[in-house]
Amino acid sequence: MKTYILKRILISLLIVFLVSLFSFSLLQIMPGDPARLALGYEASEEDVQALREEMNLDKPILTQYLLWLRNLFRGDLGRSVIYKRPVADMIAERLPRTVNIGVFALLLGIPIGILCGVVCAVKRGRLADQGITFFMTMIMGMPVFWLGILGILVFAVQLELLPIQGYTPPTKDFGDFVYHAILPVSCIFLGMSAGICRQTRTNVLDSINQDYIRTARANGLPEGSVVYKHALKNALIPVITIIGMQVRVVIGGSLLVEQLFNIPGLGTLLTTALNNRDYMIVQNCTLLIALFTVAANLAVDIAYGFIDPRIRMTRR
Amino acid sequence: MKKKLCVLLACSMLLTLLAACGESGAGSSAPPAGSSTQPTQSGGVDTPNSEKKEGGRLTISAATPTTRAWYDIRGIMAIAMFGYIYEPLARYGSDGSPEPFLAQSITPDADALTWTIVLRDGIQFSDGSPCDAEAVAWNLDYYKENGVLKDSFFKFYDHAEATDGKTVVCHFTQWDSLFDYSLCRTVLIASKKAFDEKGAEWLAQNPVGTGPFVEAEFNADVSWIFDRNDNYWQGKVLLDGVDMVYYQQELVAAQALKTGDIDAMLTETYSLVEQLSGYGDTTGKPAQLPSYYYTLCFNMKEGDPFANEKVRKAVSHAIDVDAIVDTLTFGYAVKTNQWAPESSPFYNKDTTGQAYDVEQAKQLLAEAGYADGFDTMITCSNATTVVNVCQVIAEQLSAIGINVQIRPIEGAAFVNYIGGWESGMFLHQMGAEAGAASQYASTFYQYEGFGLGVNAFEIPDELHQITTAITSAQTEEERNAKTQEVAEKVVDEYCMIKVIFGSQAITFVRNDVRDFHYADVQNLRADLWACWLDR
Amino acid sequence: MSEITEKELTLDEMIARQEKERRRASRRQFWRVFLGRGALSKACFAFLVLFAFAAVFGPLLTPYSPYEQSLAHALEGPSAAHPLGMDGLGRDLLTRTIYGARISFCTGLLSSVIALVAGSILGLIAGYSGGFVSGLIMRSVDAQLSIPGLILTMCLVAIFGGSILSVSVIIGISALPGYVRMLYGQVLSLRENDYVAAAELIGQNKFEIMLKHLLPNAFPTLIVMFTGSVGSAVMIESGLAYLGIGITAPTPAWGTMISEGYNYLMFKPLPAIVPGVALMLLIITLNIIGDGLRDALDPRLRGKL
Repeated sequence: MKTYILKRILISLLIVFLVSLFSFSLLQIMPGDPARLALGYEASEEDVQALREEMNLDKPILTQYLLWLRNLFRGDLGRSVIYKRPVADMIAERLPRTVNIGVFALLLGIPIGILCGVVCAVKRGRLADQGITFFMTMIMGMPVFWLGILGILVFAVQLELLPIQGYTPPTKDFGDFVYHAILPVSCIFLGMSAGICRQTRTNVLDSINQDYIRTARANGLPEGSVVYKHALKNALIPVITIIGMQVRVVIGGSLLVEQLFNIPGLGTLLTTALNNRDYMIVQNCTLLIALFTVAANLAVDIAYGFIDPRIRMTRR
Repeated sequence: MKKKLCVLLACSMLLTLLAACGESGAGSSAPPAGSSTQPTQSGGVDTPNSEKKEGGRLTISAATPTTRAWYDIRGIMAIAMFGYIYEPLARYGSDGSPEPFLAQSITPDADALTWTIVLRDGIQFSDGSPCDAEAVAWNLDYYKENGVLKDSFFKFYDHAEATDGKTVVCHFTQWDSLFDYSLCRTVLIASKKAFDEKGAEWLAQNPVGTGPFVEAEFNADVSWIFDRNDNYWQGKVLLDGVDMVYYQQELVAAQALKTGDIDAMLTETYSLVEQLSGYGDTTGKPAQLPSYYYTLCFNMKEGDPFANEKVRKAVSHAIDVDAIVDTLTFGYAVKTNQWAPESSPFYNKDTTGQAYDVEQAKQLLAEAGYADGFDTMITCSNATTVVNVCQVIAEQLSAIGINVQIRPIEGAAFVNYIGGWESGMFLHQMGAEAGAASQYASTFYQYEGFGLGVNAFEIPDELHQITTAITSAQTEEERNAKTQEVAEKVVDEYCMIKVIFGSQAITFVRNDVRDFHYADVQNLRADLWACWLDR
Repeated sequence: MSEITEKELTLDEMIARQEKERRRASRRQFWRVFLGRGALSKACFAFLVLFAFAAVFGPLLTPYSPYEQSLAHALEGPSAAHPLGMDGLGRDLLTRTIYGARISFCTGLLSSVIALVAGSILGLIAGYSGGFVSGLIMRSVDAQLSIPGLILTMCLVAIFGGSILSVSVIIGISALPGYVRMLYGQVLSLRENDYVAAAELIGQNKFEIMLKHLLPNAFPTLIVMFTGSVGSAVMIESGLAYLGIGITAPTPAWGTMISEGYNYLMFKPLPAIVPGVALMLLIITLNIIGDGLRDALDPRLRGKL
């Protein structure tokens, strides 16, 4: 078991290293002079040159990469050229907001997705299955921003039930947080639960048709016990992988949602930074997000290892 | 049974979609019960003091600035927002020329190479320190060292001298006839006392100025909260404060205006203006001066078809600007062919530009040797209105055989193309706030560095002479005459640019907000000290 | 029936004829399952055919060009001459939607093919070579999956520009990981398969093994992934257009049309809704067809429906 965990950790570190290569190369590949872009076209050449030196752009590429890594280890995430503040401060400010919305979406999406999937599988072919599947397919067909603007129009403007936009931290006022977060979270979790539902449905169906289930039924076990005790447990294992994948979906999906509902989270920071070529933010944020995703996947892998001993043996 | 249910579900989803959008279109024109059906003129009429009510907070939708350092303010809206806390020495009047504001007078002396600023009495910063000559002189010198636009507008400025308590003499190395224009656009007067005691970093995070409000809270990209400044020099501030809330999507902000979540918003998106005009409980008012001129610029470098003057004029004749203004901007944009509106002293009434005449265009093109047309491209930013204008231009040019490919550039990368765009045309949103003279003077002369078309325009020596004469003009009349001459050359004679239209900002405000002077003149000014809420 | 009696057929020919019968029967069953799932899947299949038809024969279906503008008639509602009305620049909406089908198909198919081919090749390489190469490929895929998809595509578009070709390639790259992992898993599981071990003993080389065992096993899942990729490619393109990046004007891609029509949403909703509904229908259709294909091709379900 220990070697398994160690191996997974090493692999995770390798992944993070590869992501850092990608983030770093962005600055090199993107067209344009970052210093000039930061200062605007009215700035004098001396000022631009000074900023270039400050950003280490005049040094060889390998040196730049190593300097960046060294600063990261020291905890210095650089300074944003458009906001004129340390990147670490801004990330610290915005990260909780994205995480709050994301966790809320996960807490809603995963149970609802699994529940719907089980219902669909058990009532296969009947009205509940058809209805839910249809609804989920509809949701998956709508782009996130479409869902968002529809939600705003119907719930905020027409019915005036929910606020149009905004964000309140849950620590400040939990009720207000939920009130503001319902629409954006719905946009994220609906798509997520549609995917989870389909996957769960397939897996449960697969395991229901297994021989050991037939044996359990033949032995006279009640249907409920058959489904929930035996089929579900085995079906849920691949679903754990799906949950690991959802972290990426949550952060990505939240990008469009944050734009629409003006939640000042990591997503909007990254989009603004990318549009304005603020490389410090883009580099460090991408790395940070990747770090989170890798950590989540690592946790999933380790959990997997505990649940299913076969995995430990056969996984490379 | 199941099939029917599925069909029902499908229909209901589509219906909801259509209904949601359809209803909002129909519902917005009916005024809600309880509010006056006749919107009174808000923002512009001064009501007698006895009727004014004190108190209440105003909520406006606006973008938050990325930096609050008083010397680092660059964008148009940023300076307007700073009208709450910081104020400049002069501001643009309704014809675009500077009017003294914190200053009582700003007098040029070309022979002595000085501009003399005399301040008003009794102006205080919100921390109690006086806004006197010493403070102003320090502000000017600090801007010369650190100001973000110092290279464009403070080139010939040398230093400032406080000769007495309220007089500041600015010395120049060369004559700059446009310094009063520059003052409207650059130096925001910050408290010297705060700077001396707490330093630049602190002052950048905690602005202290002469304005009607003080900063209460700042949340980047979310909101900016201002509270009343009880010692405002122009008079008593009636509002308790102003809350500036950021809406990333204008569409969402418009909905917020409709539901009353915000009291006012400013927009230059004309489709939104068209929609907001239908709301019963808000009033829309355009600014008196345009904020941008949508300008088509030509790459005149050798090898490009546009190096040929006839080609440029042909293209200009082939563009129907009236149709563009009437449809794309719903008629709200300002029709002009120069970088000045008709009311400006810089506007040359004899400059007619190239009228819409497709036959003339084809003939000129044939004369230039391109009877079969040619392939080219147009570079622009990826803002929706800009791309739409480019699409219309491309389609209109296809009528004379010119095949135009559109190249939108997003965000900051666009800055790289302002100086030179490799080939073809460039659609630029030229900022109008500094005034035509200043814009011509910084663009149409021979120089190295950064500026619109520095690597695209070919400036003839004759034009260079006239343009450089603008800043060195000894009198106001001479300066205006030279500016008009440049307009004539650039638009009529050489056709180096074609101005499509001037875009003006339109402010929508709820009808119970009175004396609301927001972007009256231009989107460079927010005058909210006298504003009050009728609630 | 031929005069050849059964006695005169060689063993090989008998086997071949039985194979042909089996394949014909399974094909029949495929269509039975695929279309037999109810009216919905039949309707979706019809929709898909309609879309493909519009994509291929688009120019013949409409007298207008998607680019010609009549500014005076901008934002007009439906009329006899223009059944869906005009968009913001006075272009016929129906025409642009039809041409948009072509662009969506192009982008979707091209990106999915790129993802399929490149992903499969990478997956096979990773599966067959061991050690460092395999590790590098799989970890790179993991690294790519750690970066949120939209951010990755935004960065790539910022570097490579927004033409249909580059956007398709970029979306294809972002869909790669699924295929790589899938094929890698297949190769790994195949290695433990008795049939493959036997085949190797007989002397079949790797290519033959791949063709005879690997691809037929992977085929159903690959097809389902492919339809899913096309759908999500179209979805990603619309997301990019919403953010202002992606396929440039005046190309009538549905995502671009939605973001153009967005500004008029409140008072003239058609220019945004029509491409939005078209997009929705296409994605839903592809998803349902993908489900149908999976059910029809999945050997475990054969004989049970």
